[in-house]
Amino acid sequence: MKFTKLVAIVILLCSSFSLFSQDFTSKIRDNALVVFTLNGDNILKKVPENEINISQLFYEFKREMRTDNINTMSDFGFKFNSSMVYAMEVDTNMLFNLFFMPIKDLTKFESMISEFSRNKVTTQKDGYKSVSNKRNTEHVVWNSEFAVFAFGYYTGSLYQYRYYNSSDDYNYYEENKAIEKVLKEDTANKLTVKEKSDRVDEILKKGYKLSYYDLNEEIPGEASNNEKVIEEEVIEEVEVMEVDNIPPPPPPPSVMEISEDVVEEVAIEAPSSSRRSYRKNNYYNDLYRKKSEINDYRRRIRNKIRNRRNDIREEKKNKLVKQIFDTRFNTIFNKDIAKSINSVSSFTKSKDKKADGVLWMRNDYFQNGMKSMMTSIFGYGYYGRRYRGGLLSNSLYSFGEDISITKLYFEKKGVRFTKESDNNEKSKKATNAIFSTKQDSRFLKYINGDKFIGYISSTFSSEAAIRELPNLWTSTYTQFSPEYREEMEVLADIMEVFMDEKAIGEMATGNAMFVLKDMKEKEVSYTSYQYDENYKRTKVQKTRTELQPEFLFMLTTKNESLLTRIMKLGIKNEVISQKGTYYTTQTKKSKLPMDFFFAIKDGIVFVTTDEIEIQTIVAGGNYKGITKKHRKLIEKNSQVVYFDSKKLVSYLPNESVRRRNIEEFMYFKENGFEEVLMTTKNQKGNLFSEGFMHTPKGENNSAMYIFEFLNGMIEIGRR
Amino acid sequence: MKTKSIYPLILIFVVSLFSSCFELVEEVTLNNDGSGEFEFTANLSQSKTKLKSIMLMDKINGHKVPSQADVTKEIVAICTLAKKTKGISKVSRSIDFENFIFSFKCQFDSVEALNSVVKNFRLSKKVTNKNHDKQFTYDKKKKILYRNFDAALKQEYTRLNAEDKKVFKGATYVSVYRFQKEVKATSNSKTKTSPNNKATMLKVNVLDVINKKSSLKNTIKLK
Repeated sequence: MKFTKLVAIVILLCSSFSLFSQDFTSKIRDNALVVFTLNGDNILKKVPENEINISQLFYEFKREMRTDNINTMSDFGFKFNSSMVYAMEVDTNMLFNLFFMPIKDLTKFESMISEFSRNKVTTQKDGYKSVSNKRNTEHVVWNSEFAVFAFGYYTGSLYQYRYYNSSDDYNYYEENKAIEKVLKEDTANKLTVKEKSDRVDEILKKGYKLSYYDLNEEIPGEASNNEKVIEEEVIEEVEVMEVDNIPPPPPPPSVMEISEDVVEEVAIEAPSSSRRSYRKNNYYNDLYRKKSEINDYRRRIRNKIRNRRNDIREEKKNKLVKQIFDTRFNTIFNKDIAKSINSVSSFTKSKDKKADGVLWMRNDYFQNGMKSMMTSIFGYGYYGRRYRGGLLSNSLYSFGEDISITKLYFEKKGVRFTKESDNNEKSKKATNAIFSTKQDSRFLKYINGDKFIGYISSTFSSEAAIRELPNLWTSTYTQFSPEYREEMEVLADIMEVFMDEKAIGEMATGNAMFVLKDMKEKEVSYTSYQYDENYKRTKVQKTRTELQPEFLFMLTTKNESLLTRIMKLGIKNEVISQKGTYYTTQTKKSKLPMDFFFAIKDGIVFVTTDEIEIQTIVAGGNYKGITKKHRKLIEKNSQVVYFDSKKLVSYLPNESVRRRNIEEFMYFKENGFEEVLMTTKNQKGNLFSEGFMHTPKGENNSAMYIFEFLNGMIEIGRR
Repeated sequence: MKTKSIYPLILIFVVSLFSSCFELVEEVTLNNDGSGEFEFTANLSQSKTKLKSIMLMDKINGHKVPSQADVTKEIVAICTLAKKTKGISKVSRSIDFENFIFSFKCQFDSVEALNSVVKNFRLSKKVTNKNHDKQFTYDKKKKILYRNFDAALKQEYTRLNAEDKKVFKGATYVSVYRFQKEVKATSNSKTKTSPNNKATMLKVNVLDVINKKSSLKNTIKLK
């Protein structure tokens, strides 16, 4: 018994050692927003290192890096056949991007770092070495086992640049009045500009004289207790991410300063027509010149103070950032993290040895993190843009997703990815209500086997969507603009009042299917001119062939009579016309690029480009029905997107590509992916999506196929 | 999975299937006294399927797609501008969105009046480049009509993206000039003269004009 226990402990130690050496996730804090794990071992088994070493891809990489010392992958010194992990962490002050790479050969690694960092000084610290950029925002930190490539941005509010933060207590109106007063006192113009400026400060009852700072590095009102603030700000482990509410951008700088000039200029540029007004103009010119002299003097000193303040702020910020990074590196190399990402259950559940890559993401917080990073990089210019990005990046399917896990698998027959979401309760309820419907199976009998290029099948409850969406949009929008919560809630209520979800739900239930059947050449007429021998022009009708898509669109309705009435309205307005039991857009008023044919039969609206097909449908003709494989997919999923990429691309005319890209296009036509399939289904309120891209027949290793495909493209590009 | 985003992709795919082509026709009938008639026709009929598809979109290649109302408004504005120009009369237009053929016609007292229309249009669009102001010059004494053309289109063309450049592929420009007197000589080697010697025709590829392989520039000397 004791022996068995001992063996068990040894096995556990060994496995924990191997976990420690390869699983960097224990070094990532539980406040991470994104963790991406790349399974190097899996990938290198599919695309061997020696293949990479002789590939075009690696050749291009070497060329880009402009180095002679790296000839093989192993020259980097990394242990590529291990897991590599990227993490994005955000706390109140910093956004960290950390990329963990295991080291195999320390000498090679250090020589590579020395070359690429252009011999920047390597600092030896307690337990690790590091090389950093000047601003301390980018670092490479390593010990003998692994390296961390880190870069980050300060996202706190204390040292963010703000115009008025770096300005002093300047009041244009008060100061202008004071300057006028000084000029009135000194009509003889005996005072120097410095003395005048000092007098202005006296009138304004300032506790200092601006002129004092003209020659001194010291600046007014600079507190010496800022160092204390830095100490307080370095928080080793921040559990809850808080992103500062950054106030809207300040009004454009220097408006006030400019305006004083403008005001004066307007005054002096008034047209003069008499001697009196000429004298008056002279007086104003003189007054303006004297005021400008004082203003310019004071503005110059103020600018100097402002720049100095900014420098100090920047220095303090850099110092703080350095401290935060040092603290973080210390926890990576010398300490155990109290709460690592491994304590988050959804993360541990996401681990998958078979997956080649796993992306774990805290969605809503990730958006906040990106917001902070963008604001930090672009400053206030990003403030307005972030709303657009935030709202546009949300689709129905990502509303309220707390966590999403995306996995990538390079399988034998193709590349597979899966994405599962972990919704909050509100979204779970909405998802269940919207995505619990089944596709209308009657659609499937109108499809002829698998004679199509692709299709999109979608089923959801439109009634539930209309009922749930306003509230979901409200909650999403208010995430970005909490100040408009009330307005958005009222808007959602109004939408609910005006949108009769039942009526809309009856008109279009939410079951729809689009089938791209074929691309066919059609003869199209056009007008051209011919000229007689005296070049008199007459119109002639000519024809040309065009490739046009043939498709069938089907939609379930429970309110045939309403749709029939809409059709009649279309006929009345000559937008469509009736041909027996079906309708067509073949009218003079049609603005459509091709003719469409409609019919409503047995609660299904049919729209097609093929007149024979619509005639067959209304006559109750028979079709083979879709193949079993696709039927299964459509029945089991809320959304299915399928297309035969090879077939689709084969229809694209070579002329649609630039001449210089024609070779790449032909290569893609010949070697590109075959079938592409994407599905989405509801799993207890969470959406599960899956995608699969089939590699061409005969390929038995999708990773190798992509690798070879890329190499082929590079080779063509180099010709 | 965002199936919504598939629909615009399908539309773009459909659009890419149809090649584009257009022809521009410029016709001038010049009387001995320098007055005459001008007609300009843009015939995009060959690309009508593509244009109808594009008109269903909001944007293409990053450009806003104008609506029928926008296009009409622009043509009407040109006509209004022409009507207000001294020496221009009987202004008419033709707008056909079924075949995408648009034309503008007017009578002029002198070719200078035609130039004024071009200049006024430029000013209305706040374009500062004056290079295109003088399209025609007619020397009554010497009986010479000059078709001026010195546009540096290549530079503008190079700035376009690849998709926009495709629009000019296969496009042609036809200039037809009719006179009461017979034509003695023309400077542009690509110009054809009618058997009765009273009309000339110059047909060039727009791309050749852009690349300076051809030009619209011509000097037509009358007998």
